[in-house]
Amino acid sequence: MAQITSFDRRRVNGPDDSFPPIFSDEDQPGSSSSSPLQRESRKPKDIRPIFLQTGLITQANGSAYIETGNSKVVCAVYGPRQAKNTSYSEKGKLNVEVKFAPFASQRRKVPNRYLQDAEDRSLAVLIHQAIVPSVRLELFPKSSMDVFLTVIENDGIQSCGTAGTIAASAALADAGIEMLGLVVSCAGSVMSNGEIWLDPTTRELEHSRASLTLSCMPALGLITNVSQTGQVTPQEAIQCMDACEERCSDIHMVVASALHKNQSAL
Amino acid sequence: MHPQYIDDDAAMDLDEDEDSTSRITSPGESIISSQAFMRGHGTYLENDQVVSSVAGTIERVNRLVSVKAIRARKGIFRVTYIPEVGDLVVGRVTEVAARRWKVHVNARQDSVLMLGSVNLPGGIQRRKLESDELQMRTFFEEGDLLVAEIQQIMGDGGSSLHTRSLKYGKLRNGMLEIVPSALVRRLKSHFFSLPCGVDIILGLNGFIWIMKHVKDHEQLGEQGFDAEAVYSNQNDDIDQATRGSIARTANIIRVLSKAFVPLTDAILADAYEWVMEQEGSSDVKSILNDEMADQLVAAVTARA
Repeated sequence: MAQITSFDRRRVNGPDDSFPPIFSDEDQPGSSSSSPLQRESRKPKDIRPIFLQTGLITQANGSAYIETGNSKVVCAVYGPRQAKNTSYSEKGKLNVEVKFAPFASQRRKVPNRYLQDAEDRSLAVLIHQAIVPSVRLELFPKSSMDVFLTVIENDGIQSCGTAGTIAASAALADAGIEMLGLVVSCAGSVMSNGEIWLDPTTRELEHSRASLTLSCMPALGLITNVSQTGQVTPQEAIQCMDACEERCSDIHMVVASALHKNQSAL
Repeated sequence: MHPQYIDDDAAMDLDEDEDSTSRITSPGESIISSQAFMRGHGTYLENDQVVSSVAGTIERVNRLVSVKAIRARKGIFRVTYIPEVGDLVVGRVTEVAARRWKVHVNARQDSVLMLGSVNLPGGIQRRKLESDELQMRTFFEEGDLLVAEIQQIMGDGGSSLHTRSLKYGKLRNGMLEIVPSALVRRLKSHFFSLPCGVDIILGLNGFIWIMKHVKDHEQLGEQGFDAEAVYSNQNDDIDQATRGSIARTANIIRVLSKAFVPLTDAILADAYEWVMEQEGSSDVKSILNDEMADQLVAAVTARA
């Protein structure tokens, strides 16, 4: 880990590794909070409130900023522009890149890694898979659309994926790129006692057995992507998907109203 | 938990009787039945319904329903320019490649500017050497703005440019304003000066360069081609008054393009004159006030 292969002398290089301070009065992880399987501020099927605004990055063709609780993601879309590679393609290409800010997670990340972390890449793949069925790529031959996401704060890796998907879809809409529908996404966790909690935070994920992220286009009633990790029974998975899908229609209204607000402000 | 959104669900489908002239929609919303209406831009068909594919305003002309995207209204995006041979364009270098530059001209594909189609230092008719290839960035770099002419259209819709005239080349001493390309018509000349000491280059692709006036005797003849000056990245000294004039011209263009007024040399000169007649014209920003902007548009369209 201490091996610095890509040392950049032009910037202030922080330490490679860092650890969050542990205060003496803080509970040790594992025994944290008196009853870990009792949600503190919301009901199991509740998600954190969403703040979404489009068009904040003026240089980009489209952009969106999303905040759900402590998870904050900013997204910029550039394109459709001519694809960099010269080979001819009938369909447009959608590129998704995810970066974590060094201060986004509990543990500091080394900035400016030329190679992305595995975490960034898997998140990028997830978001790409979620939004690619919605974009009408057949209308953009030889073009590429580049989606850049930056996670500013990470509270629950699942919520970074869902917030990223929502932000990416909103930013694509803001860019005026033709889509079949808006994609929204919701995550749920199966807790160790078998309960399903939607939109889990980092703290809550410590007590979860499995997690599931569902992305869909509520306007068309289509699901674009489901990704699941951990151990679940089929019943639990179906329950979780149903709960997510139900919540997605609420999220869809949030995204639609954010786009409307931006549109009428012009 | 989300009571405020639940009721809106029912409103997602548009009633046919409703006035849809300024309704805002987002992708995936069905707009209207395709039985009675035709689908226009920004829509697609799904189960006998016209469904929106962009976020924007619904526009209806008789039986044609289309959705105009948000960004199209800003004139930055989706109003792409279709190049034609002989068009004068203003563009931005996006890439330096082998013996060519790629130039963004607001078209579907970036234009190509070949090393062989630019004037190089030391006489125009000299051969392009390998050493020129190696120092292409001393002529144009990524991000540089240039004015050029479309030389050729390729089979795939791409285009190539040339700057083989002393009028063409790198741009400096001014600012860029972007308008929908439809607003710039083909004119006798796309270079013109306003009496206030401002030169304007109206690119047919909707990119407009507004710069400090270049005096005729400063423009060197073919013989005295000065590479230092032509490919310089350094701005000249621009005094406060000229800066004001440039900014005022840019604001006028912004206001006119928002009202979708076609831009010609005569209209811009008229508009500038009108603005200078107004009270408080020393304040460059005042043009952008809604009231003043409306008056300006009214005055200009009345004269035209």
